[in-house]
Parts: sequence; structure tokens; C-alpha cells
Amino acid sequence: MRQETLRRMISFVLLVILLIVFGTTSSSFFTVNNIMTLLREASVVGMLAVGVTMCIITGGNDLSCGALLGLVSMVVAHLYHYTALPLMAILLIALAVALLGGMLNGICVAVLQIPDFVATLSTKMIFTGLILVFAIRNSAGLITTETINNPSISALGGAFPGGLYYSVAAFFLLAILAQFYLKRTKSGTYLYAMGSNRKSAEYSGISFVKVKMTAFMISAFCAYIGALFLLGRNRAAETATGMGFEFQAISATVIGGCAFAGGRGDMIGTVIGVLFMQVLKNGIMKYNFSTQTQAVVSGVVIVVMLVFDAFYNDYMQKKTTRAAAIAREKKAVAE
Amino acid sequence: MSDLLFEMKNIEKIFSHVHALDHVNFDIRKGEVHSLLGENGAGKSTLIKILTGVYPKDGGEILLEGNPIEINTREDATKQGIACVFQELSLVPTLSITQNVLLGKEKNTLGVIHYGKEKKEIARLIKRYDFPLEADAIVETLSVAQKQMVEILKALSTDAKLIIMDEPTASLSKKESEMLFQIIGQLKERGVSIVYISHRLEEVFNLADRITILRDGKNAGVVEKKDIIPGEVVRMMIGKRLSEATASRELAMSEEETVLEVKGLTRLGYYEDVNFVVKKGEVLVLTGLVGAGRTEVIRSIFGADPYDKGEILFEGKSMKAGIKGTIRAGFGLIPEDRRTQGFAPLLSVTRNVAVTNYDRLAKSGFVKKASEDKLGEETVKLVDLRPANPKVQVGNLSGGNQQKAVLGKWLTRDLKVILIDEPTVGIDIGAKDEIYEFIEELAKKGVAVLLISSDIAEVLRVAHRIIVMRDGHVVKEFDDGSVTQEDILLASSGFGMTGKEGQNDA
Amino acid sequence: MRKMKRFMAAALAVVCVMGAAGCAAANSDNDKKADANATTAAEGTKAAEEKSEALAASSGGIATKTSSVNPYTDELKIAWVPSNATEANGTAWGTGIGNELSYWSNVTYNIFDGETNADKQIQIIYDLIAQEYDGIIFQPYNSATTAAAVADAEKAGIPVVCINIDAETPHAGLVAMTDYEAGYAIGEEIAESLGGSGNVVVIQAKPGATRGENLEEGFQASMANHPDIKILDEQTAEWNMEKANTVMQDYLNKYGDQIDAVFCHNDQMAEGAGMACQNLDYKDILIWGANGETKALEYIEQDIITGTVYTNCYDQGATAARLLMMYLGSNIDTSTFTETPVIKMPPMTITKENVGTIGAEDRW
Repeated sequence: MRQETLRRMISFVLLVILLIVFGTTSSSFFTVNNIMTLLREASVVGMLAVGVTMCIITGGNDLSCGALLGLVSMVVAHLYHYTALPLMAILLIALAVALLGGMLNGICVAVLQIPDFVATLSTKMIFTGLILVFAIRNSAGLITTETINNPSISALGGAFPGGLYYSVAAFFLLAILAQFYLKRTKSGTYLYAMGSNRKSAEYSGISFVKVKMTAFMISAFCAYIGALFLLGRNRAAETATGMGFEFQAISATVIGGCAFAGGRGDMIGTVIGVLFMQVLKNGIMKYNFSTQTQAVVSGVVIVVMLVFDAFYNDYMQKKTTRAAAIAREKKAVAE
Repeated sequence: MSDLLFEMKNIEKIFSHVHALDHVNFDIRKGEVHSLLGENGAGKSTLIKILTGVYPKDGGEILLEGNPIEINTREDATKQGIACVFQELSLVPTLSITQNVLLGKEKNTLGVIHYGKEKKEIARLIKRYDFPLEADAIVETLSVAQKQMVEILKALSTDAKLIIMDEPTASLSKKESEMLFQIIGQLKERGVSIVYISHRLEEVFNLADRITILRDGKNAGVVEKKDIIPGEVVRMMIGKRLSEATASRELAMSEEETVLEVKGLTRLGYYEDVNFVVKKGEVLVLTGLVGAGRTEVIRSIFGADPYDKGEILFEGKSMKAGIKGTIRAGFGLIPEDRRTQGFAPLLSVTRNVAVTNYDRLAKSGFVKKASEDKLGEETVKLVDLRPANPKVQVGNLSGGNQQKAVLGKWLTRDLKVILIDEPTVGIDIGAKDEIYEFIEELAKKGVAVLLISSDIAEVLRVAHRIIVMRDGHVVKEFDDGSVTQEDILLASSGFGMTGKEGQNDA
Repeated sequence: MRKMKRFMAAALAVVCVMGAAGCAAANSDNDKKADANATTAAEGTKAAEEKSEALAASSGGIATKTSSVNPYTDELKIAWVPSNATEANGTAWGTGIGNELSYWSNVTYNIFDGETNADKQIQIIYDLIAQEYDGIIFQPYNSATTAAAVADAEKAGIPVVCINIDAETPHAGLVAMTDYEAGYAIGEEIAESLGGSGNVVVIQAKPGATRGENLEEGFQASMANHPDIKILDEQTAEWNMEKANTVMQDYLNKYGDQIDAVFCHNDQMAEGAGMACQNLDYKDILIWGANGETKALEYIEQDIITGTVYTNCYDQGATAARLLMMYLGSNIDTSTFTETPVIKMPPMTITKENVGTIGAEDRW
């Protein structure tokens, strides 16, 4: 069996266990309202996770996606507040900002050859700074937050009849597209190739710059989509919007079986990971634990998952080597 | 002349004033298996890297069917029909066979891959060569041999005229190797030429249509299949003078008591059924090619790695303890890679020595600085460290002195057995001699020395007895009379049994 | 607890007037432009009078809902969602709410920490809606960002009473410390101490925090009255004591003796600034905070800081709880409100002279 297939099954089983535990111990868990809310809360981080998965598959990471989401939100809010541009124009400008952000990441990592972690941590600071630049200010020059009263923006926060929020549908659609991209397109295949064995990918004529650029652009696009739906829900952007989202997204991705080393993982795993994180967060709130307890419990579960992942990958690596050796030995004896 | 595919003429390559290749000639005929032989450092891999566009050449020319060509990048090499099956496999482990073979040449419409079409095409290719592979299997789930087949498929899918195989059988079983030889036969029939590089002389002699031998970056000869005389080829590889060099002493089984005995020791995937004894005051050398399993054996003996079967007897009693137990019993290990395993480069000599001796120094968990310092001083004197300063950071010492410091870690202890792995790699000649003297000194003091070395001159210099390992097995023991470099080389390259006898007859 | 009854009356008054007329009570925006000197108590009394008139005059103007609960017998779930449950004021409000609700045996009271993160708070609110909570007491981390979630809660029939910071959408009510007024009052105090001329530095709240903005606006309004007082510098220390300490040290290194007074947007930062002045031996600088937490009161007693604007947070929490219980027991449909009724806690300017009047039981 493929290493990540087994790995993903473990995550999936854990998710099911979590659902059973919360479902049986809390009467307010398996209600339509709660499930719809849970999915909605998962969706924005989920969209970021789709992008982050791409970056992690190439053997990199994107720590800036949360801040980029915040920046996109702020740019929309800023333009809406200070200009009379039609919404469509505002959204296009915001898209351009997002893609420029992704390109900046790509240039730092691929062209300037700065390690992903350092590069995206730095661009995160740039984006955070830009958020303050674009922040809406009151007459005293102080940063304030203004509600965006636009029916189209508010509509993004809406739901289908039956309660399924648009943002949830968008998240799943994005994940399906991303899965198709990863598994069935040239460019998607190259992400894996680059992450799994950069040398051999380059010998095959695949450009490191192009692959990294693509991954960061996708991540930026996902941040853009996430920002729109977050605006739809909140109808305002604040300076702290998106902060820390990247860590939730990265945790979800790793829980879903993506390896930091690259070359592994896909959208099915990421969706499982995103749901796992949100079910945990949502379920644990039903127990009336103190804040500290909640934080510790969910923290411990996530850390255990991540540590497990590290050990699992290491163990599988060793096991494969050894299994092959033992198989050879058996064959030799049989001869 | 017309059947020549590639010709490399008067190839020169200079690495920082050293002539790595000195007017080397090498040519390949259509549909032949041409072997390149030579010791490590003879220039084989440099030559191949020039042919595949990894290194630029500093002189000479390359001809394809008589026309001069330029190969400056790997892509150039691929375009000219040269493909490589690498020693370190260069596949993408998490992708399928199809994805790997067609990586970079996917059939697609607007970026969307024609998945079914590709799979069918690769399945057809697999069938044509009758490989035991599935087109959509993930590469990391394959055995090493299967991975190699994927590499060959990859080469074939580019319509390669020449496939270079560098140590292709290094990690294959016997049966897998035979399968590879069949594949090579098939490729030959289809007119594909093969450059075959291997340390295993037996394979080379059976497989090669021609052999080009390099020594010290120069051509040492070209031999046609019908003219191959194994002893002759080996002499070409190592030169006449050296091939007749013998051990510095007569090898003999010591009469002293047995200190360490290894019986049927096996660690699956690394080494199997290893048996030997080391006696008091004796230097037993484990030699063989890199990857033969020598280091793994001594790591298991030391307790740093586990083993699956067999027994380790110390002074007649079974040892099962881990590192702590073996150290307490009087074992010491000087690992191969000094920097990562042998010492902490940023700590002083004193601290490095003290670390292995804390069991003696530390009373109830605390260490007196005075006793630590005293030990440091002692060590520096004992190993004649230069500079004679126990406070100097080990990382700042020269290679030879680093090795001495590592030796010092163990010398102050009451040692019974010392395990030394490649003690002189990267050390200048002067320091080498000092280290040999130490080893002799240790043996004279009654320590049982188990030493790993690939440097045949070194083996002959220090060994009381010699064991040759290959592919995880002990293939030869030299424990009496004289032995020559040639004997050892033949044994370790897998030609020992038949080769030596053949030569003795001659 | 002494003042409780008065506030309850005020609360009822404001709500009823709101419900009846839809515009009688001022929302927070209008309010801060109101005369800073007008005390809440006075407003309350005035409103209470109006209320009786209003009640007498109309009996059908309030939008009502058909189903209301019985607050004395029905099982009720009430949540408290502070910006940060572990900081002094968050804890004090929580305790005040908890004490008040503990008298109601049918009420389950839970705390959900917003972890100083608006998005976290939004998620909590939506989760509370899904869990069908009966009422929410909420201290928004950001007024605008959390507005949609509060509106959705109201739409779902859950009254949301905010503490201290309002959500920018009409909802059941706001029980606020004065902020604009406090900023104004501190400005006046400083001006008086300095005799109308001198140099002031400001240590600001986290950028974007509504309370910080309002304090600042009040302070600026006061400064406008005193053209000879110059604001030398304004930097944020993000509500944080250590950061305020650093900012203050920077100020002292940069301006030294020029500084006559410091205005910090909360007590914690005032404490940090106070320690910086102690360490660098600038003991004549006036240091003002706002909130009135226990440590700040102690520092005032010890002459480390000069003054603060004290609010009884226990009272404030209890007031919010009572207001919410009143809605739950009534048939007032808070989701139809077009403006949010406001209760303002009275600000008490505390300096060394009157710090002793705040007893141990009122310190938080």
C-alpha cells in the first residue's frame, strides 16, 4: 500500500472516532445547525490549506498565506471605504494584490533561493506591515474598522436553502479542482516531482523556478478566495484578520498526511485534516472546559498528531528498507 | 570504424592543478557492452560525467558517428541519445512508474495529462521488455531491482543509443543481477550500447565485450573479450609494482587467548552470517568495498545497532548489553566519520575526552573540574597531541590530530577491545604513520584491535590477519603466509575464488 | 453592590425607551460626543422618569416576540465571551456575571475565551448560535468585524449584551465603561496638574482596538482645550506591560526631562511605564492609566503611577447579566432594535487622595 494511503486512513479513522466521541457525549453536536456552522468555520482555513498543501508538496511551506488573506481583506475594505470604484474593480485589484504577493514569495524562494520558511516568514511581515498601511483610519489618524455594507459581499456569507454555506461549497469545489490539478495535470505532477526528488525533476527538464512560482501563486489565489468569503462572513477587515490562520492550515495539512519533506499528500488528506481540526475545536467547546483546559487538550491532540506523523514517516522509511532486505533474503533462501 | 557510436579523444580534465584525466581515449561501438575499470580515483566517474554533460571537459573532443559534438549540459547528452542509470537512483519515489518514465515529456492537452494513453504506452513498453512491473505502481513501493528497470525504461523512452550503468548490481540480489544481465542482452540485441561500470570483476569479465582500463587518470589499456586474462587486467588497474607488494609481516593466527568472538552474526539487509575471532594483542582487519557491511558489523558489536541472529562472545561469555555495557566491559569505538560521530567539534579536547569517561570521573553525578583537567593533560601527553593544549577546540585541530584526540578518548581507559573504522581517511601521510604506530602500540599492550580499512596499503601495513567482506558476507580470510594487494583486490571485487586459483595455476 | 439597584433601574429605563421610540436613547457614537461631564447617574435618573411616562403612554409600541421564556424556571444557557478571559478586567466581568447568575439555579453559565482574536470570537458566536444558547454577554475584540456575527445571533433570537465595547450593529444592549469621557477626564486632570502647559506622551492601545480609539479621541478633545500642552509622541504598546516599559524607556531616552506626563490607554501599560520611570529615576512625571485594576490602585498608593479612571467591573458584569435576564423574561424582541441601548458605568477619577475610598471588595 502507498505510504500515504495508510497514513490517511489513520487520520480518517481518528476523525471518525472524534465524531463518535463528540456525537455520543454531546447532544448539541450532531445538529444540522452545528454541522453547518462547523463546516463554515472550517472553510476559510480549508481554502488556505489547499494552497499550503501545494507549497508543502514541493517541499516548501507558506507561512505568509494568513497574512496575505488579511492583506487582501484589508485592500478590499480600504478601497471600498475610500474610493467609489465598482465592487468588481475592487475585487480585481485585490486579486492582483494577492497574485503579486504570491509572486513575491515565488521570487524570494525560487529566484533568490531563500529557504521557504525564512522567505515566507519575511513576506508575512511585509504583508502584516501593508495591512497597517491600508488600514482604515479615523479623523484622528487612528486605525479603525469599518463595516462593508455591500449586498454582494454580504451575499458571499450566505447559504443555500438547506443551510449549506456558500463558503463551504467553495472550499469543496476548490479542493476538488486542486485534486484534479495535482493528479491529472502536468504542472501538478511536477509539484510532486520537485518535492520528492528535486534533482531528478530538474534532470527531466522541470524548472524549479516555475514549480515554486506556481505553488505560491496557487496559495495566493486560495488566500484571495478565502479572504472574499471571510469578508462575506465578517463584512469588515481588521488589522488582525488572518493572523495565525497559516498555522491552522499547516497543521491541518500535516494531519492529513502531507510530509514537510515534500512529495507526499493530496487534497483528500488535507480535507480530512481540516475537518479534524475543526471538529476538535468545535466539539471541545461543548464540554464547558476552562479556556486553559481547552487550549491544552486541543494543543496536545494536535501535537500528538504531528509527532506521530514525524515518527510514522521515519518508521515507514526504515520499514521499507528493511522489508525489501528481508524479502530479498527470503527469495535468496528459496533459490 | 563505421560501427563506432561515440568516441572520446584525448579528454583532459584538471581539478585544481591535478590532472584527473590526462589525454584519455574511450570509444563505444554500436550494440556493445563496454566496461570501464579502474581503482577509486582512477578517473572513471570523471570521464562519465564529461560524457553526460555534468562536467565541462578541459581538452579533447567527443565524436558521434564520426562527427564532433558538444555536450555541455545533461539535456545535450539526452539529445545525443546518452542516458544514465544512476548508482544513487534518480527516480521520484512518490510518483507512479508511468509518471516517472514520462516525467517532463507528458502527453497533454492544455496541461491536462492524457492519463489513460500514457499508461497504455508504458504498459506496452514494459511488455516489450518483459519487465515484472505495473505501469501505475508507485516507485517507492518497488524493490531496488525494479527501480533500476524503471530507470532503464526511462532511458529507453528517450530512444537512448547509449545507456551508462554505474554499479548497477551494487544493491541487487544474485537473481536480480541475472535478470539485469538478461535485460542488458536484450538491449544489445536492439542495438543499444552500454557502458558498464562495476567493481565486481567477475561480472565485468562475463558481460563486457571490451574493457577500457584507467589508472591515475590515464589509459592503462583496452582489452577485447577474447583477450581477457583476469590477473592481467588487475595488474593494469593497480600497476605492476603495487600489485606485488605484500604485507609487512607474515600473517598468522595468534596463539593468545580469544577476546572477542562473533558467531553467525546477522542483521537482515546489512550483513549475514559473519564469523570471526579476535585474539589478545592482535590486529584483525576487516576489508572489502564500501557498502560491504563492515561498518554495520562493528556497530552491532559495539551495541550501537541491533542484530537479528547470532552471538557475540566476549572473553567466552555472551554479550547482549547496549553501548553502556560494552563500554563498561572495555570496548571502544572510533567511528569512520569523525565529525559527526567521533567528537564534539566545539568542545575542548579535555571535555571530549571527559565525555567518554564520566562514568569514572563523576562521583554521584557531579564532575570535579580538576579531575577532568587532569585527564585532559594525560591524554594530550599520551597521544602526543599538537598543539599540546588540552583546552583547544577539537574542531580546530588538523585531521590527524583530531583522530589522535578521538583515540585519546579511549586510550586513558582500561581497554580490552577497540573497534576502529577507517582511521586514516582524509589524513596526511605523516599523521597516518603515527596512527599506525598507535595501533601497534595498542596491540602490544594486549588490546584486541578490530580495524576496518579500504586502503589496501594500510591493510597490509597493520594487519595481523585479514578478513574480506562482500555484500554482507565474509568471503575470504587471510590468516597465514604472505598476501598481496592483488589477492585482496580480487577477493573484495568478487573475483576472489575463481580468480585467485586461476592465477595461481598460471 | 450598593449602586446596583440604581443601575438596574437605568437599564430598564433605557431599554424601554429604546423599544418604544426606537431613537430616544443615544448609541455609543452619539454618546461619546455628549458632554463628558454629564454623569451616567444623572442620565439614568432622567431616563427613568421618561420611562415611566413612556410605559404609561404606550402599551403596544414595543416589538414583541410570541415566545418568551420563564427566567425563573426554564433551563437557560448563557455565555460570556470576553476578549481575553485571563486578563484582570475579563476575569472581573466574568466573576461579576457569574456571581449574579449564580442566584438563578436554572441558568447554566459558560465562559468562552476570545483569546484576543476577533475571528476566534466570531467562531464562538456562531457556535453558540448552533448550540442554541439563550443569551450572550459579549466583549467584542473589534466592533466592526464582530458585527455580522452579533447581528446573526440577534436574528436567531439570542439577545447579545455587550460589555465595554459595542458591536457595530443594533443589538440588545451595551454596558460600557466610559472611554471617550475617561480620555477626556484624564486630559483635563493632566492639564490641571500641569497648569495648562507642558509636554505629554501617549502609550497607545493595539492599533484598531475600539476602546483605544475612543480613549484617544476623548483625550484629543481635551487637549484641544489646552493649546499649550504639546503631545510629543504617540506609540503603541499593544495593551502590554512589558512593551509599555520598553516604549517608555525609549521616550525617556529620547525626550528625557521634557516629558511632563504620560497617558496610557490602560492600567497595565501605565504600570509598565511607571516601572520604567522608577528605574530611570524620573519620578516627577505624571502617569495616567485607565480601567482601575487592583495593581494600578496599589501603584497609585505607592506613588508609582499618578492616577486612573476606575470602573467597578464586578458591578459592570452584574449589570450586563441583569439586563440580559430582563430581556429573557420579557417579550421584547431585541432583534428589531434599530439602535443599541447603552448603560454607562460611572467613571471615577482616582488619584492618591481618593484611592482609599475603593474598598478591597470592589477591587479587581
